[in-house]
Amino acid sequence: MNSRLVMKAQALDNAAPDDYWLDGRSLAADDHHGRQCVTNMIASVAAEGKYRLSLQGAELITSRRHFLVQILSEQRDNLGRRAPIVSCGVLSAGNGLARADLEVLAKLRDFSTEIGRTLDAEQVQALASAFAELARKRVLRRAAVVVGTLVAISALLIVVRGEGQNDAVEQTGNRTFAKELR
Amino acid sequence: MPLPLWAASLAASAVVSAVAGAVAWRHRNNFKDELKGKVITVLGPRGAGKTTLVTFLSKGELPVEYVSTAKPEKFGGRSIEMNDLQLVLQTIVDVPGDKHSYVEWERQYKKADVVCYLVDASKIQISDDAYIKLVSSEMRNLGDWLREREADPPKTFLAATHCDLIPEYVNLPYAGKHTFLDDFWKTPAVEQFVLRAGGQKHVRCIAGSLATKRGAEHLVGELLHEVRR
Repeated sequence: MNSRLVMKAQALDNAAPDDYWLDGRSLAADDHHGRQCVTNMIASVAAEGKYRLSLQGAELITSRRHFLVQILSEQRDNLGRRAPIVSCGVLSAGNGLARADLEVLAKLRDFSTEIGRTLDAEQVQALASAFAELARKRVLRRAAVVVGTLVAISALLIVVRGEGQNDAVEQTGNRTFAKELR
Repeated sequence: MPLPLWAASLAASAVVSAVAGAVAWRHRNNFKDELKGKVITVLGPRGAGKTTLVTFLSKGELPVEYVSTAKPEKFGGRSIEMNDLQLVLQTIVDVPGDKHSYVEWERQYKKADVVCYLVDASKIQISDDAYIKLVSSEMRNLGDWLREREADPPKTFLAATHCDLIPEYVNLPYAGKHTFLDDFWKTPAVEQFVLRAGGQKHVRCIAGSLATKRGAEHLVGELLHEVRR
C-alpha cells in the first residue's frame, strides 16, 4: 500500500458507500480490507504530517515521503456541507519532482470526473503552487546534501593525504638516521 | 442564555487540553478533582455535529462554512471564552464519521475519560430506520470497547443534537421541553442505544442543539455539568 496512490470521497447522500480509488481502480463497496487500508493510510499521514498548505479547505500535508491532499469539490452533501476529496501517496523521487507530483492533481481530476464532482479551480491552482514549492525545497535540500557530502569527502581526503605525507617524511627520516648509525 | 453558576465559577483558571474527536480538560480550581486531566472523546455518525462541537470548543464559535470531515483533523493552541467560562485548549482532533474510521474511534475511546456520542435527534424522532440501525451498531461498538475497560470505564454521554429540527420540541415552552425529552429517552430505539453502550449505569443522556452559539453554549454547559456529577 505504501507506494500507491489512493483517493477517497464521501458519498454526497451520507448513506451510500463512499468512493475509493486505489491506483486508478475503483474499490468495490464490499472490499472492506482495501477501504480500511486506504482510510488507515490517510489517517496516519494526517496524524503525523506537517501542513504545507491549508487554504479554505485545500490542504497539502507531508509526512516523510508521503503526501496527503485535500481538495473541496463544488458539490455539497445532503446536509449542505462542502464535500472534500482526499488523496494520499508517495512523493516522487529523482528528477522532474514537480512534474510527477502535479500528475497527482491530474489524477484527482480523473477521479472527481468519474464520481461526478467538479474540483474547485482555485484550490487546484493553490495545490499546484504548493507542490511546486515543495519540489523546489526538496531540490535545494538535495543540492545542499550533495555539496555537504562533497565538502566532507574533500576534507577527509586532505586529512588522509596529509597524514600519508607525514608518514613518508617520517619513514625517510628514519632511514637516514639508520644509515648514519651504520 | 448565560451559563449556569457552576460553569461561570470555572472562570480564568480553567484549562482545557483536548485530544481527538476528543477533548481533555484540565482545571485548577473548584473542579480540580473532578475534571483535572480529563480526556473527552466526541464520536457520532456523519452530520451529528461532531465538527460543530469540536470547532465550538476550539474557537468558541460555530463554523463559518460547514465542510464534512474526510480525515482526522488536529486543532489546538487556542483559548476560548464562553460568557464567564474561559478554557485553554491545547490539542483537539476531529474524527470522520464513516465506518472505516472506527479504528480511529476505538483509539480515541481507549484514551477517553469521557465519551460524548452525538446523535441527530430529529432522525430518531421520525423513526429513520437506516439511521437508527447505524446508531445502534455504533452503540454496540461502544459497549464492546467499554467491556475492555471494565476496571476504568469512561463516563459516556448520549448527546441528542438537532432538537431545533423537531417542530414539536421547538414550539414547547421551557418546562414542556423537559417532558418531551423525558419521553424521547424512553423511546424503544433510544433505550436500546443506552443498553448497547453499557446501560444506564454508564450512559447519561443530554439534549439540545448546535444550530446557534447560544444552543452550543447550553449543550456544552450541560455536558460539563454532567461530567462533574
